[in-house]
Parts: sequence; structure tokens; C-alpha cells
Amino acid sequence: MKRIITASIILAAALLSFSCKRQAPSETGSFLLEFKLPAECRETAFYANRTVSLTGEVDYEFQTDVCGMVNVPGIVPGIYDIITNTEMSGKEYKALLKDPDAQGIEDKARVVVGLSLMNQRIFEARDISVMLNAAVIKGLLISKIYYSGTRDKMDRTYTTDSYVELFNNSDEVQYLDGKYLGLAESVSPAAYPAKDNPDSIYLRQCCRFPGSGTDYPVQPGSSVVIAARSARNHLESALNTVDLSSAAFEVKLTEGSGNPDAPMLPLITNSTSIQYLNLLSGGPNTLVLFETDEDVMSWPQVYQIGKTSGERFLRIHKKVVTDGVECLKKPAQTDPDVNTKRLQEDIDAGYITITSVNGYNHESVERRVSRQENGRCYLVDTNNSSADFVVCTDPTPQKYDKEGLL
Amino acid sequence: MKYPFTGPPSRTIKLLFCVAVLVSCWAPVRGQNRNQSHNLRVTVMSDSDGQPVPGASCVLTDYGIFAMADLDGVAVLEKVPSGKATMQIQMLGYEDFKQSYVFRSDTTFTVRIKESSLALDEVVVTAKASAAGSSTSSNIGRMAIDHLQATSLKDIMQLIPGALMSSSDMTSEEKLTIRSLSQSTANNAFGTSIMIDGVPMSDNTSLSDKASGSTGGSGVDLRQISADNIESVEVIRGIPSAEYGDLTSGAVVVNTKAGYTPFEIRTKVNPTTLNTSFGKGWKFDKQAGSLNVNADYARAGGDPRTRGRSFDRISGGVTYSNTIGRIWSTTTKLNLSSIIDLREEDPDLEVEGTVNNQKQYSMRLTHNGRISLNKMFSRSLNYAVGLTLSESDSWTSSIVSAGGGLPVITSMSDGYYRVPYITESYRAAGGTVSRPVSFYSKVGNVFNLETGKIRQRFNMGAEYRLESNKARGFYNEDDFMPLRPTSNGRPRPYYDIPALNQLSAYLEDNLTWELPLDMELKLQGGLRFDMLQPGLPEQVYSLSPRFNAALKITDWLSLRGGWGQSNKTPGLAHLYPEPKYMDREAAIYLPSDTEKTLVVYNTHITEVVRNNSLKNATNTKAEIGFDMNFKNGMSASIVAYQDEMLNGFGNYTEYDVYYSNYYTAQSGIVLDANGFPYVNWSTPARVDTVFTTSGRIGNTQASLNRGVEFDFNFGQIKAIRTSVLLSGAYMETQTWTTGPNFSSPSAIPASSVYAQGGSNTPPFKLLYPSGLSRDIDRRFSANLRLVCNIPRMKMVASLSNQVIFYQYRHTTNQKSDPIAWVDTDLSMHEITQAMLDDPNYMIKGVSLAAQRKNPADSNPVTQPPIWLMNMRLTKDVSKNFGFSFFVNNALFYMPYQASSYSGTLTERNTGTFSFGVEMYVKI
Repeated sequence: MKRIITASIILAAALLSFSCKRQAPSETGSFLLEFKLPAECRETAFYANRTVSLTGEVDYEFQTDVCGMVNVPGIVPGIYDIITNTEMSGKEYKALLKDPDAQGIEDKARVVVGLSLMNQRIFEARDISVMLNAAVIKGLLISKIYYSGTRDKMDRTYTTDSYVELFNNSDEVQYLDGKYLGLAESVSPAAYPAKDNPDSIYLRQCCRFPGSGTDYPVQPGSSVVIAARSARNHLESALNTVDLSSAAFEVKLTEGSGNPDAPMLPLITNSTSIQYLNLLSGGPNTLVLFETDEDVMSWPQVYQIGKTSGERFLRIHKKVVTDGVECLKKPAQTDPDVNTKRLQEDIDAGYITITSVNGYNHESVERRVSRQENGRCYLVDTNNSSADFVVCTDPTPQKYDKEGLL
Repeated sequence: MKYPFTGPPSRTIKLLFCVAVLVSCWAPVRGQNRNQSHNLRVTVMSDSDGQPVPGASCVLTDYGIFAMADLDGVAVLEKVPSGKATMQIQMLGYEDFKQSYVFRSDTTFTVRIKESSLALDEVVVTAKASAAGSSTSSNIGRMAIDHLQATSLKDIMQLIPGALMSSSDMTSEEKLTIRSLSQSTANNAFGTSIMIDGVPMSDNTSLSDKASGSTGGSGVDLRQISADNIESVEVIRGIPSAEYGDLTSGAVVVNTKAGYTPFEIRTKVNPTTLNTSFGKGWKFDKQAGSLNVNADYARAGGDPRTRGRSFDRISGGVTYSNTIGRIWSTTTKLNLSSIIDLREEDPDLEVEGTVNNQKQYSMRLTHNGRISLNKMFSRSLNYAVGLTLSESDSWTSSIVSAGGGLPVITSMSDGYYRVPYITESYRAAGGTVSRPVSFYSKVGNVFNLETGKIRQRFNMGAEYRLESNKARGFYNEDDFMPLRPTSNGRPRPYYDIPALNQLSAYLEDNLTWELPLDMELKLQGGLRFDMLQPGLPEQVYSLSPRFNAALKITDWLSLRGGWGQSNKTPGLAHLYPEPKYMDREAAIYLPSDTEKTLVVYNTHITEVVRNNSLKNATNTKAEIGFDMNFKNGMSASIVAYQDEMLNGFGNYTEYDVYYSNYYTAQSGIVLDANGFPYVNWSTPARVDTVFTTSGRIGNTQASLNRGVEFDFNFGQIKAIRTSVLLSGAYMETQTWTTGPNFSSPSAIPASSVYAQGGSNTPPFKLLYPSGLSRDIDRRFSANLRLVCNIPRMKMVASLSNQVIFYQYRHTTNQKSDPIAWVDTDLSMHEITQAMLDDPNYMIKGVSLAAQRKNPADSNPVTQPPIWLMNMRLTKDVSKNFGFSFFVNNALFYMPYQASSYSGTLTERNTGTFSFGVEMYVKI
């Protein structure tokens, strides 16, 4: 018996001495990250000497080699966002193409080559090969969306001061004529989230800019304000609000109503009988700017899946979209649910959200300024709202030289 | 689940009745019994001290013969036919006495009745089922009310089989439904008659209160009735006697205290409520009668975590009862009550600044009496007269949100109006003043007939009611700053609303037939006639036949069944809805220079045409069941029921069409020399064709309640002096609408002229079949009560275990195709199958194929079983002092459970935990 006890004690002591070593997180081991240029580029051209960032457990930054590869020496396992963006001139980009003229890109255009690959699970050494997107930096961008609303002088909620602003980020005059501004469906739960719909976006409301081609120019570096509900000086009703009395457009159904000085931005499709751009004070609000020669009214309008009544949403293909911004709803205790994103990653890889659950806190989401030249601003456009947009507490139409945006 | 009867159940039962009635007519008349009658002399004495009990009422229930005990405790019942009869003796403060006797000659005997006390061997603290042969009902006595520590009548309802245990906090209106699981309770509660001392409380005159947002005609608020002054309650769930009218779901018959009582103070305290009452009754000498006085104060604060809600009730009453000349017993009551219900938003809450204050003062004077005539065709006469005067004021103050531009429309007649367009929110106040007046009178007569082995008691009577509500109605303190600056916020005076006149008459035969082998058949057959608004365009009447039958097979087993209709007349809110205001934007010109703002609205008023299209709501009830009563005190009763009401009150859609102009800056709005706009009325930019409804109320709500109720009494386990009672019900409620089911077509292009006018300018309206979508609720619940009674300790403790075994909810969502379309000239056009089959068929440019509704059916939701345990204890410490204590959800069982539909865990039994104590002093 005694022997057994002694043996047990020794065994236990031995086990104790061998067990329970705290391990430092072991790195994954080295692996290769390959960035391929878009398919229309020459096979001999590479994404060489560009910066790539991996953000997640630990943030890393790497440089691609001449073949567009990164030999990652090993990282802490975890979930990472892989982001790289390179802005180049149209001339530089055309030099990479198989057929430089096929895309119709002008030399002075600005092109962004890159990608935002979100939520990659990297727990082991595994080579990753991805294809980059190339996007011509658009002339017209959605630059400000003010949807939170505010509180009036009697502390009532006030939402009629919402507006959307479009900015000409190019060096040429852009025309709004015939372009479309769409508001994606915002029902809860999401009716048509991007994760289930890789090619289409479903619009609750769609506005078509009037004009026959050159009636509504936007000068380089300037912007137009679209009053979503009412183009008036809201400062008469509330203290923290905006003056929209000089808005370029007012969303309405009948020309000659509302502010007679603000031209009508008509709703051409509308899933409800609401007669203004129905931005929700707490979100989600997903806006897209698109252009097409096709007859939009001939595109399908569909009910929610499983329903045959209620709202009908206009389905548009993502290829017609020139810019899109995803504003998600901020839940009370958690981060926004990225599964409800309505925009695909190549249109908007991220999202932006105000800090309040229900809004009314006078916050707007505004596009950051990348650089200022000769008094004009160039705005950031990497097709990732998380990076391109910031939340501002002082919405001011047409103001870009603000502290928060620089 | 299969029911004993699923279709119209009436045929068999009707046949049975007809046969029975015919047989009764042919039954041989035995001469020797016919004219023999006797006089009974009953001396009523108290069991404890042998003293006479003056004022005790002695009734032979089979005949309707009654007498009151005089100062010596002697009651003389005259002309009692030979044979078996049941004697019932009732006296405030004493247990009911009920026993059958066989009378063959003049008889003198003594009955000793027991004082109500916890020292009694058998104390009933639960509801007692009714005897077979009458309506299915539950009787709840004072002991049960005490044990329950009820503060209002609503609390008492949880003793009914199938009703769930609840604890009310009195900060919101309490309305009573019977045998319904539906979420929309208005029709069921409105059809529940609350009778207090023979006079109904009425909700017929209530109108929608736009200050607080409540609707009219949705049932009596029970919070105004103090439970401490109640002597007994009978809840009639089955087919009521023809005596009870103006109801559909059932009746709650409340008797309040009258006569001598000791001085008694009661105080109840629980986390949400404080309730104090006192009462005292005096017995005067000789023929001077007795007086009973009571007063009650209740204050409820609701959830102590949220501020801003409170309820105060002060009520009191004086009752004088007297018996004049031994044959005329009278009771006269004056009750006063004041209710103050205050609601304000918690200032800490985000949306602050709304205060709602409701005050109700009412005075109720009732007088009822019974005269023992002992004539051939009038054994006893009874009558009741009641007058209720109420003042109800509701006042609301809140900040009206301008929301960045608000047209303030206050026009009270048709036309185009230039309206102020305000941009700043403002504080507004308004209220609703009601003055409901209700007069009720009733005369009834009871006599009996003997034909051989058949005894019949005839009960007949007539009623007249006058009810009105002439008052200021809804008003704004400042007409130019209305509380609701929308089309639903116009002032509405009640002065021009007619009064309600209601005439009713009833006849009922209660028949007892002694069959061979000691069997007995009891039949109750009655017919009731109700007429509302005689002579007016909206005159409506109805006939309600009602039958109850019971067949006693052996001493311990009887079968029961019944079929009957009951009718509820519409109230003022249903008959005289408010005119419908439709305000349409006609021009909106908002330049940057706000001085030059021009906003024009077109107001169109649609009045409901007064006609008799609104009928009484008719509930058809059918029941079948059995009762078993064993000598050892065990009993069981099971009743299967079906209540079908196909024409309850609900919104009725009828369209009117009018044209409304729209003016724009390009066409119609013209600037004068100074740049100020005005409208050139002759050049509208657009003329909209507007569909508008009238706001009519029709018989459009249907409901079907069916189920099985059971009530088992397993008797007392003597060794531990504990009674075991099990009651419960399987219930199903279906509700649907039967009115015309119109909707606007979908898929109208946003840019079309129809869409520009908003939602009321569709090119046409579509008619779909109605009633396809039903809400179905089912529940199976049971309550096992263990009641331990220790007379020596004068203590009763009870444990109630409620289990909801099954809870089901489903809204069926059927495929439906339009059957007709209504053009803008209101012409109706049929839609044929051929039109539907054509995928390219267009009506006025809108695709018909897009109008076919094929919704995905929603899934039924069932909940897992859940149980709840409540404990109560009542003890008399001495003859003068006692207390009660309760704890609801004693084990604090609030599990997180998921329904069958959603995986989300939700907390159940929330709000069920509460506890409280009551003390009383009797001198």
C-alpha cells in the first residue's frame, strides 16, 4: 500500500512538472501572398514594390517584390483584413494593359489598383493568391450624407434637414444630367444583402437627375447639395442643423411644390408612397450613384423573398454603379452587422455608421480629403467607406476644408 | 382536436327541447296535487349562539317563493306546492344554506346557519361551479375574494377555469373577456355584461377619447369597482338566462354588501398597490331596516422602477335595506366614486413632456326590491331602477413636433384653405369631456305552475334603458394650436349625438320534470327581445332564444347541454362615428423667403349616413357536458363549448370619390407685384381623383371560441385537511374580418399621375375575398390548487400550481386573387378567371397579374410548457383581527425559453412575481 502511495506521489509530481506550460502564441510560419493584376493586364506586368497592410490581431505592413509577391515570414494567427491600394495616372495604368486603348481610359484619369479583402482567417501557413481590382477614380462621388437628423428648439426629433452631397473629384466638368441616385432597400432583416446577391443591388427609391446632357454641370472640386426632404433654412426650427435653402435639388414628386427655387429631383421608382428620399435617422442608408443608357423602368421590380405584397425594390446590376456608400445601422451594444451590407466589396468594401442607435444627434458621414492643391480638394476614394469616410458632428454643406476631414 | 360538435350544433338540441316541451304538455295532470299547497314557517337561527337571524332571505328556488326572516328569525313561505323543493337561505356574514325538502303539509322547522369564519370545517376559497340545469357559471364568495386579496373585480377572474393567474397593477384599464384568447379584446369585453346589484354597468355611451388615445365601446373599466365591498360574484360563461341581456360573451353578476356587518377595516399592501377600506352595517330596531356604509381608497403606482404613472381611487357607498310588511324587501344604494389616472412621461426619458390625466367621478343610485304577492300568476314581483351619472375628463398636454414644417389644418368644413405652415414645435393641450348618463329600469314577475310531475317556474319581465353622453367632447385649449394638427384631431362635441333608447322584454320557463327511476330533467327555455333606437333610422332589434337542459341520471351524474343566442346592441361609438376629415395638400410653396410661404389644403368631410345597416352583434353559444357529484364531496364537471360570433363590430369600408386640385409654382400659384403668392383657382396643375372612406362601423369582426373546460374537486384528504382541486381548459379562438376587403393596386409607377397624388389616388380599388386570413390562438392550461384548512388555527393556506401545457399562435395567410375592381366612378367590375389567367391583362394600365396575392404562409408559433406557483395564506388571529399573505411566482421561476419559431430565448413569466399582505380588524 505504502509503495502505491509513494509511486502515486512521484507520478503526480512528475506530471505536474511536465504539464501546464504557458505557450506564447506561435506564429503561422512563412507563406506567400500573391497579388495578381486584373485580368486585362499583361501577364508580364506585376504589382511590384507596393505596400500591403494586414490588420487584425497584430498589424503588419509588407512590401511586394518585383513579381507582386510578399513572402510573409509568419504572423500571429487570427482574422485579418488585407488591404492594398495604389493610385496611378491613367497613362501609368494603360502601360500595364494588354490593349491600352480597349478600356477607353484617358491619360490624365486617375486609377486605383488595389483590393480590400476583409475578415481573412489566417491560422496556418497557407499561400494566398488574390486578384486586384482596378477602378478609374470617378468624377462624381457621394461626398456627404447627413441622415441622423437633430432635435428642434423644443427638443423634438427633427429629420427633415437630411441631405446628400455629390462632389466632382476629377479635373473636368461633370454633368448630373440623366444620372441616377438610388437608395437601397433598408428593411430589417435585410431583404437582399450583398452576401446573398453578388451582382445586384435592390433599391427602395431611385431618383433620376433632370437635364438633357449639359444642363446641370458640376465644376471640378465643387459639389451639389440635394435636400432629401426639404430645401429650406432649417436653422429657423432647430439650433444644430443646416441651411438647405440654396440646395441644388429637392427630392419631390411634383415640380412646383416645396421650394420653388430648388429644382425637383424626381423619384422615378418608389417602394412606398413616401414623397421624399427616405433616409432613416438611425440607418441603414445605402446610397449608390449610377448611370446607364438602358431604360431603368424596364428593369425588374421585386417584392421581398417570400412576399407578394408590400414594398417592391428596383433591381440594378452592380456594373452600372459608379459610386456607392454603405451606412449601416449602429446596434445598441455591438458593432454593425456586416452581414447586412447591401453593397458588394468592389463597390464598398467597408461601411460607415453614426454613433447613435436612433440618430437625432446631428452627425453626418463625410468623405475625407486626400490632398489640397491650389485651394481645391481631392477626396479619398478607395471604395472602402471604413477608410474613406469619417463621422462629423458639424455637418456643413459644401465645406471640405474642415479639421476632421483633412 | 375534434370537438363533440363542429358544425351548427343546435339541431339535435333543439329537437330534444321540442320533444320535451311537447311531452310536458301531454303529461297527465294529477288533480290531487294541483291545488294542494302549504304554508312553511322557517325559523332561521345562528349556529353559534342560537340567536335568531333577522333579515335572512329564504327562497324556494324551484318556485321563486321567498320570504324574509323577521326580528324573531321567522320567515313564512305561503302556498308552497306539495313535493320536493330546494330551500336557499342567504344572509350577509353567513354561509349560504341550501337543502332540498319534501313538503306534504304545513310545516314548521328551524334552520341553523353558520357564520362565515375560518373556523368552519369547510372553507371555500375557490370558484364553485353552478348547479346543472342553469347557465354554466362560477360562483365566487367573500372568503375566496379575501383569500385572493383582490383589489378589483378583474383579479377575481383568475379563479375561472382556463383563466390564467395574474397580478394587476391597476395603472392601465382593466377589461374583462370571457372564453377568449384573442389579442383584440374590444368586442368580447364590450359584450361582457357587468351587473351590480341588479343594474348593469354600461360602456354603451363611451366614445373615443382622442386626448388619451383610447377607443369607445370596448368594455367597462373594472378598476372602478372595489373588491372589498363585494359579497359575491357569479361569472356566467355559458348560455345566460333570458333575464340577462345586452351581452354576447357572458355576464358577471356582482352582489355588494347590504345589511348588518361589524365595523371592519382592511388594508392591503403590495409593491404596486395600497388599498384601505372600511365598512360598517347597522341593524335598526323594529321595522327600520338596516344601513351599511363603506369607503375605499386605493393607490397604485405601477412598476416602482418607472415613475410617472399613478392611479387613485376613492369610492364609498351607503346602502339602506328594509323589508316592508314582510312581503316587500327593498335595497337602496348610493355609490360615489372618483378615479384619477395620471400618466406622464418620465422626464428622464428621451421623449419628454407628455402628460395625460384622466379623472372620472361617478354617482350611482340604485333601488331594487322584491314583492312577495303569492298570487296565481305572480308569486313575486321584482324590480330595479338605476341611475348613473358620470363625469369623465381626460386632459393631455404634449409638445407637437413641427418636424421641420407642419401645416396646421383646423378647418371644420369642406373647401380649400390657406393654412399656417409652422416650423417650430409647440406645446399644445386638449382634452375630452364626457358626461355619460345611464338610466335603467326593470320589472320582473315570477310564478310557478304544477302539472303532475312537472314543475314550471315562469320568469318574465321588461327593461328600459336610456343612455346618453352629451358633453363638450374633444377640444383643444387653443383651436389654432391643436393637440393633433392632423385630420384626426378636429374638435368633436358630443351634443348632437342622440341618446340611446333600449327596450327589452323576456320570457323564460324553468321546468323540472321528475322522471321514473329517480331521474330528473331540468329545462330552461327563454326568449328575449331587444330593440334599440325605436323610431330612428338606425332602429335595430333582435330576438335571442336560449335553452339550457340538464338530465339527472343518478344521484351523482347529470348531463347538461345548451344552445342559445345573445345579442349586444351597438354603442354610441359604433352608431355615431365621427365625421371623417380628409385633408389633402393643394399647394405648397416654400421659397427661401419664408414670408412668401403659401400652403393650401383641401378639406373634405365625409359623414356616415344614418341607416339601419349596423345590426346587433349576435353570439351563438352551444355547450354540452356532464357533472358528477359524489357523496364524499368529490365532484367533476366537464363542459365543451362553442361560441360563434360572425358579426362583431368593426370597421366597414365604403368608398366615396371626390376631386382635389393641386396647384404648383408653374400652374396655379401666381405672384403678385410684391412677389407674394396667391392661387389662381382655375388653373390647377393636376386634378386628383381621391378615394375616401366614411369611417362607418359595420358587423365585420368574426370570432369563434371553442374548447373544453374542466373542474375537478378531489375532496379533502382528511388526515392533512387538504382539498385538492384541479381546473383548467383547452381553448381555441379564431378571429377574422368579414367586411369588404379592398386594397389599392400595387405596382403603380412612381412617376404616374396616380402615384403623385399619394396613397389615396389609385386608378381603381381592388376587392379581395375577405376572411381568408385568420388569427388562431390555442391554449391548454390547468391549475392544481391545494387548499389546506385548519379550523382550530383559523387558518387557510393554498398553493396554486398553474401549468400552460400548450400555447399556439398562427396567422393564416392565404393566397388570394381579386374578385372585382372599383373604378373612380364607384362602378364595380367583376374580375373573371380568364382575366386572371392572362398574364398581360391590364386594368387602366396596371398589370392584373401583379395584383394576385400569394403570400408565404407564416409558421405557427408554439411555446414550450411553463408553470407558475402562487401561495396564499389567510389567518384569523382572533375574532377581531386577521391577516392574509400572498406570494405570486413563489419560486421566482422565470426561465428563458425559445418558441418553436424563433431560436431567440425570451424570459417568460415576467411580471408575475409579486407579494403582499392584507390585515383586517373587525369590531
